Amino acid sequence: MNLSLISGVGLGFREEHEDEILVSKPPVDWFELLIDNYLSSNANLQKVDQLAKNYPICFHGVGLSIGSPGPIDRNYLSKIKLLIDRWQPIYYSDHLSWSAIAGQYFHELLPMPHTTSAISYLVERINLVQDYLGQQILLENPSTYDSVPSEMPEWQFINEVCRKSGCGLLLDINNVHVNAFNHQFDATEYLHGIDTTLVKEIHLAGYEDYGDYYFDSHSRPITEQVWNSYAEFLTQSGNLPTLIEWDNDLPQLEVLMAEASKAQLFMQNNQGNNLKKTVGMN
Amino acid sequence: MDLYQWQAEYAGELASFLSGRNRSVGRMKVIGGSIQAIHIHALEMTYPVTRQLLGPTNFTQFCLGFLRNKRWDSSSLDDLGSDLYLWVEKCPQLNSFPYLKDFICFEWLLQTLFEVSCFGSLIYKNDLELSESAHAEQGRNKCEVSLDEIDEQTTITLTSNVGIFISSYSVPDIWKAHQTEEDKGISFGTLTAASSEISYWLIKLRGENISIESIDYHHYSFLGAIQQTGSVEELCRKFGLNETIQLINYLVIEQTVQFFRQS
Repeated sequence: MNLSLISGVGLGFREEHEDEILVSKPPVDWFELLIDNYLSSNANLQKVDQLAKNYPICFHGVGLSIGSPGPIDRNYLSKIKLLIDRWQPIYYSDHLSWSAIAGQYFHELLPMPHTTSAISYLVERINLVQDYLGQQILLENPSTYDSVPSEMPEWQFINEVCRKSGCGLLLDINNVHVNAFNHQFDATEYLHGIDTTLVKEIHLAGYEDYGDYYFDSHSRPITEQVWNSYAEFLTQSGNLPTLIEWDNDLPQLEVLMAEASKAQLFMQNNQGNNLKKTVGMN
Repeated sequence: MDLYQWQAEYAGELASFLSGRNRSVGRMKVIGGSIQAIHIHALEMTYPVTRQLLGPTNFTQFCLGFLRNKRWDSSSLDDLGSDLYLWVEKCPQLNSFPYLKDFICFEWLLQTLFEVSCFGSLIYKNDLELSESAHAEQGRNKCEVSLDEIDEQTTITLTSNVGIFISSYSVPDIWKAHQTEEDKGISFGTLTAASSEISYWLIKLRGENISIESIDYHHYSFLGAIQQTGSVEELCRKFGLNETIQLINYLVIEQTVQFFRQS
């Protein structure tokens, strides 16, 4: 299935639920693939072939390392391109981060400094990737735990990168809250600062509270804080494709479907409110 | 400070934390701890039976020691454990597992074979694993040839789902004892107990079926020579023309080898 746009609420296509999803074909608007899982040679590509016949899909990666020094990994990118050709995802996204330097790979999303030189560097590399793939990519605001050199607030840094490169923003509202706690800023101010026209997709997830820091674990239900921010953001941006992101300690599919229903309710309410505004009701 | 300099310093601090040289780098413990968890999970996936043999706690400790002394030079987590076997020698507390080093090598071999064989990934290997330039290079220089086209210029390789293994311990028996067919979807082929002090095995994967069979030294040497030289001419020189033809014919029937010609 290849649709030019997605809407509504998506779920991750994770190994634990693959068979259930393929057999029962649950009413989910779209599915996201953790695309790095399909680059290793023991990946089950046939299951995704089957999925892609029935649902719109998006790719989400962690291996692009867009902010790393050194050349873009063409081998990695060529694999992504082949899978894009095979499954025609609506979006391919990764993170505004880096994970390797001088041949040393950390396999984690490391933070970028919020500086003008980092913006220039990222824009150049994003353009290379978009030219190679022949399409716009989305980049996600990552969760971070270490302070970085900053000439501007993170939201301004992200807006600039997206505007100058033409890439879209995958806004992870959970990550905004994780970073707000870890770096002591106001999540609401951050979300008000985001240029909503850049946002193409939203991620919602749960974090772990370790007392002195929040950890973006993707292992828990979405918190009320994050739901509230989501509802408020939708009033600014209008409804946007939203993913319920849950990767660790994965619950039954019904639990994820319930979270998806909740997000759908927020979208319906938002649509209703917009309608009321349009027709002048209070 | 320019971007590269900052990143180099950050990476240096992180590497220092991960190596255990500096454990007090504030918040770096969060990202460092996350990296360690990712790496240990990757090793658990690669070495499930080694983990069973050592027990989860000992396995984690063993991996932490290995990881603290490793520089991760591959973007793929699948490659992370390629030299785990070498770490056994640094762990005198594991002397009670004299076969551990061989066992880790065996499980690595199986892992690499599974990577190629499972889920139709031969197609995947051919299509995706090579970079575009490597594809072009391969296409320009090599073409597959059939048995009756073989000449001195032909190169011979073991098919990618075949491996050979040598040990003075009955490692495949230990591995087999920790398998359940339901869990793994594996059906066992012939597994003959080896009788000599050093034993040799041929491992073949066909889809999800694995066959591990004991072979004699001569068979092992011939397969080893194929792995090492890849040259029919060299094999003829080493084993004699008649014997080479005879063995190659047998291996072709067994679908163990394939041939290419440099063009």
